[in-house]
Amino acid sequence: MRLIVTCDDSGSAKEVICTPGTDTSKQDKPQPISITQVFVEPKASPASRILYSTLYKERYAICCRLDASVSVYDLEDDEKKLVCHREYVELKGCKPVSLHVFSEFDALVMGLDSGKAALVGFHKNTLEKECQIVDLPGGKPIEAFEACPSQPGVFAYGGKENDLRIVKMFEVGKKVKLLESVEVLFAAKNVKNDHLDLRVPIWITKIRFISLKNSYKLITATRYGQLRIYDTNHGRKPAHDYQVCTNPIITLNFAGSNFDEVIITDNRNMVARHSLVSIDKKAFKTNSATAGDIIKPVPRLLGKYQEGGNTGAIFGVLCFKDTFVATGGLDRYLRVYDLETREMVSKVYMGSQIADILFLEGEEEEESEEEVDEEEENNALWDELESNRPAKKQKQT
Amino acid sequence: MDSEAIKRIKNKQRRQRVVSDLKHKHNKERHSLRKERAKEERANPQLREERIANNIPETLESKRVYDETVGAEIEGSDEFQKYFENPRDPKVMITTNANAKKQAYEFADIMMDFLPNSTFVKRKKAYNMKEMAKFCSNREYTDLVVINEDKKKVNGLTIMHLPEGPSFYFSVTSLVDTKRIEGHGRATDHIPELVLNNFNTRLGKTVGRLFQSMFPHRPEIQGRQVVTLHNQRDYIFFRRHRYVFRNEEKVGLQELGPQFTLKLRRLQRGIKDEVEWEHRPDMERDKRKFYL
Repeated sequence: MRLIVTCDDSGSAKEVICTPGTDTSKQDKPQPISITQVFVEPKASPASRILYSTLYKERYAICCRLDASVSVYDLEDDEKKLVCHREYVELKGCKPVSLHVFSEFDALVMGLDSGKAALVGFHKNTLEKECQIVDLPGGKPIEAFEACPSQPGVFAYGGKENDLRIVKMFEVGKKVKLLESVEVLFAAKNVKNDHLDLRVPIWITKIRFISLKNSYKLITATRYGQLRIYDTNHGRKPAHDYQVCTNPIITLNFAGSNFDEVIITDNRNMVARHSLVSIDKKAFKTNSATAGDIIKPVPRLLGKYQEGGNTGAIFGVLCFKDTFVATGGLDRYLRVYDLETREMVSKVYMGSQIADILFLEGEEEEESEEEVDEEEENNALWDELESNRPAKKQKQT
Repeated sequence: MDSEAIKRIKNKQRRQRVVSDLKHKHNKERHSLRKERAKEERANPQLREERIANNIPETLESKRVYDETVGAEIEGSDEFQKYFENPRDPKVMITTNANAKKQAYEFADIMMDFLPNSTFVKRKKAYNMKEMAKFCSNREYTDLVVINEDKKKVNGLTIMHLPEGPSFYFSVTSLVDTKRIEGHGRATDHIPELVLNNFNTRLGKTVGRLFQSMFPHRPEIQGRQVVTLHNQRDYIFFRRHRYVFRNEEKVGLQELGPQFTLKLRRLQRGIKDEVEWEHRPDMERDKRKFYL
């Protein structure tokens, strides 16, 4: 499989080619075929490290960096040449919270932590010099900004004490231009006060759109370890509010292409897969002196991706080919797991902290099979040699 | 006489005598063997060298689980890079947990003694760690050390590198005050030399770089003082000595104290943000796996 993994320590990225079974922590296991540093231009430094990257028309990789600059690289080029790089004066001091690319309109949209969104056109391999900036309603800093996959121009966002809003930012047309005033389609309401009649704090960290059938359906993760499912037909409060862990959730991804399972990671070392369909109705039980027994439903935990001894927070989670999930984070390892069995398929030491992972292709199987064959032959040879040695044989039995 | 035969002796006193006789005999044999070997080796010193070269004892360190990050170069730059590129003298703020007892202040006193350019400020309940870190970085401090005391015992040390982190939490054990060290010397105000031993893995290097950036990079050699941070099996031993060259071959060491042992419990990015590494009890299960 061929993956591109961003490197925080150097501000660049690395292209990893490895076969299933690769493990750099074990000397007798296969080692990665190649690790090459890419995306070094224009100036790789931790201050301009890559935060998010996406594929564009399966040929370009668009990366947005910590200093809110955008770089585009050509993936078909062997050296992954820089196509275009732009720094925007207006965005100085802002940190991007997400990057969304619309290939049909040749435009990309960034959410910025200061509660703004920026739209940049990308025509004929060059990024526009000027970017269009819009203040998002609410006027508070945001931490999550997500594009609706089926309706271009519709976005959802939220942050600390900034509850979920769905807005329409531009009309679908030939030339994309931001609307003069952002149209708010939906504004969420906080959940009910808790059993002590205290307000439940809001701190959204990630948003994902589930599906669109006459209404928007989304899922949000919070810094207080909750997963909330919103349905715009269901009212302004979340349709479901689940407490899944006690630590802040920092990433939220769907497991595979169906929307009924999610993979979440927290700010320690957990990578867990939860079902959104099978709900344990009485999984959360606690007792309060005033309110009596409190019983809450919890989405079923389908398992944790623990193999390989992860020690740090995971920032990059990527499911590909519906069979694998790649994770990378602060402990500087890239790990690839089997989505279903949760067994570790590959583990590669990257030498740098990881923020995001891009999947390029997975078809290296022919080569890998050959290699395995060779190895088997070698092993058979060694076995034969060893069987001729009586002392060893005794030990083996 | 084999062990089965000894077990068959029913009289306890006789059985014990037989066992002790056997042991005595065994010891005698061992000593005579050693004596003989020593004699041979005295005549032929090469034999001794050969024996020592061949009999290397197996230790947990030598059987350490393979770690690809040992010896690998640090890629890119980290938060400490700034200090190494244009060294500015570190400026350290020391404080304690809220409601600290006498022991914490005593430990702060000890730390002030060996950390050059450090100041102590009494902890106020009103401010939390993140706020304190902000105040300190506004005042150009490079490190903030928070001593943790529990049940009148110093048990932890939070060290935050400012302004961008990372934050470390160490547990503190085996604290021995200078006064309790026999034959100890009296430390001077000179900037000590720093010895960092065995910080090999990528995580270990981060920890090593923290200590490196806490002491000024220009030791005053006339002081002949050395601070040692020795990592062995993930325990970091802190020692302080003064050396003297007695003649061309012999070096004398005088301990200055204090002694204590640190163990890394948690490493967080930024000022106590996401966890980069955290100690878990199950990490101790494999005795041959070391993280620093």
